[in-house]
Amino acid sequence: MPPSEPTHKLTNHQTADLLRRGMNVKVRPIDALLGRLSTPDGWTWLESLVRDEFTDEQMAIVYEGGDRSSSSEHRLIEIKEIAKTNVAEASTEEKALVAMAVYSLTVASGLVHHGQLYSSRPALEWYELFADLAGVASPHWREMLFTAAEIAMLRSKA
Amino acid sequence: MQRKPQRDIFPTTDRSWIAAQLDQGPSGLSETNHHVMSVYADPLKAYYNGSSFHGLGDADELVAGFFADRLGRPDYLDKWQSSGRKLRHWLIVGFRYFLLEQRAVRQMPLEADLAHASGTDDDSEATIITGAADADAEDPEHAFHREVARSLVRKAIAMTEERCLADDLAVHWRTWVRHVVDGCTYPELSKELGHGEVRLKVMARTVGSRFQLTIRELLAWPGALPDQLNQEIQELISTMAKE
Repeated sequence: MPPSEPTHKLTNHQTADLLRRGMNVKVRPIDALLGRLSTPDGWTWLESLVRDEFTDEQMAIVYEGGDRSSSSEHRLIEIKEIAKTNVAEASTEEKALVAMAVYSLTVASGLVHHGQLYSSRPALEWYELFADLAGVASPHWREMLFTAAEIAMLRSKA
Repeated sequence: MQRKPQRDIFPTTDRSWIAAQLDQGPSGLSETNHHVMSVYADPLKAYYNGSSFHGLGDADELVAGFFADRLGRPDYLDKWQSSGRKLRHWLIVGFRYFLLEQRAVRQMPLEADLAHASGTDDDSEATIITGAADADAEDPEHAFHREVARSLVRKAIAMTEERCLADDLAVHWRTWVRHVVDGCTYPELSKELGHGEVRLKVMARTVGSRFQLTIRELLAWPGALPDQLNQEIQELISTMAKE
């Protein structure tokens, strides 16, 4: 089937289907973060605030997963726990959103670099979250999030 | 004691693309005017062609005249924002009022509501009761809303594509549009695009989320809550079923 020119005439059925995709049937905690990150300065905003709460070394571990050693994995889990605590105890919503971003990135890193899902939430939820976060992420983080989404989706089917 | 996050930074209302543009000043106003004309011109023509106003003149010229007159007023969209109304309702009421004005100027036979046309301020405009101007108003107005739905979806598609390409997500975009618009299956797309099916599903979801955000931005009016936007989408969907 040849590719369509999508802005050409859409049928009523297609239009209704596409409109339906605009419905937001569930409001997740992550949606506020996604909304903020989808603004033009979204990721710049995040990176500048992350520096207030986490060191460059910690974020490098989140990005690279450290090495394959158990101590690296342990440090990654420590960062995840700090972020998780900050989500609950942050003094402002802005700080809570930043912590939520770091928390999500550590879970993604755990999957990608250590093959572990550091969360009791279902893999399907993480697949959705990682795919959505990848859509608003900077190129630096995007590939890791796509890979994490892929792994989470496969796990959800296992 | 555990401190609760403050709720004063991110309102729970949906972001409005127009409001964001208008916040940028003159360049944003120009961009917004262009947007309003490109999205709403065809729906207004559909209304005009089906209404009892038909015969006042060329549809293109009348719609262009309406935009020139109303959008030429620097505060026209500010007044819309203050009104708390949906833009499609604001525009159709304004357009009907404009047509009444044109009918009066051309000294054509008058209808019951002509008295409303003696003023030109937006407050008077807002007092016109929908459906009062002509007996055939229901059908052309329905055509207007249906065309608004189509036009907004087209615009959301175009904006999502533009944003994806700008962020180096061309393959993701293609995956989504081939799957959602063209109806291709993931196995078919896997052969076409050379990626595994799981990766393609992830890519499509990413674009789907962007499309969702975009169409909600386009539909949002100042202060719109998520449930109100869902309701607005549902109303637009219902217009597609009534043809």
